[in-house]
Amino acid sequence: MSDVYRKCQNCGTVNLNRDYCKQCSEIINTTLKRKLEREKVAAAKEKHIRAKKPNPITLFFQNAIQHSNIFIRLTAKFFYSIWVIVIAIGSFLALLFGYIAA
Amino acid sequence: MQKSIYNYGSVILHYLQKIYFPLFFIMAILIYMMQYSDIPLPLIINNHVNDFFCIPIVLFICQYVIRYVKSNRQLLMPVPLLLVITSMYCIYFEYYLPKSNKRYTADSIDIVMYFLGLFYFYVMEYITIKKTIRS
Repeated sequence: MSDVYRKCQNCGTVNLNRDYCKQCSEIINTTLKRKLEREKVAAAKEKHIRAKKPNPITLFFQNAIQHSNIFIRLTAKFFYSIWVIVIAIGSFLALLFGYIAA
Repeated sequence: MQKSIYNYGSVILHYLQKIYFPLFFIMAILIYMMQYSDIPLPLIINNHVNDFFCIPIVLFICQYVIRYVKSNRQLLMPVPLLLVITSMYCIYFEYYLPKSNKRYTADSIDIVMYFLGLFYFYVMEYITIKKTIRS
């Protein structure tokens, strides 16, 4: 691998094969700097998404799933399942498209 | 060089993922309105293109609702469910309706178009998301 000389933008020191300046510890590898910035933005975005409170529908079902009554618990589990919701919406849209196209 | 091609590919895939639903939706409505107004269209557009758009539109709406209900913006539907929905549409539009309504005709190319639509949706949603997570 060939040698890479990088000049520090902070103190002007020329560094050989280093990602951080030997003088002031500033990051001098632009590719690494961009990668770290991208990771920081992605982490902040994910933290923001996780910090968001679930909507009232989610809260309702999450509470119903933990209900003491087994009948309510099973009904909530049934209607909160991905399969039931998707098949219900898919069937509704099929009927709608069939009705519109006829 | 290869890396830059890969990056361009990712960028194109990213933008396609953002615009394909409104694009398909508008195009499907336009084709339907032109058919309704008796405007002549090329045979392939008139008979098969809306069948290709149908499955990505339906699955996108289902995915949007499921993500809202579960409060999870990265949720993906299980692949067997995608196959079940597509098969359901094939049976309903290409077997049941042609038997019960003379307006509909059974066509094997439409079944291929439904599954092509499913493949398109899979590439747009699953492969792009996996790439984003990996990077």
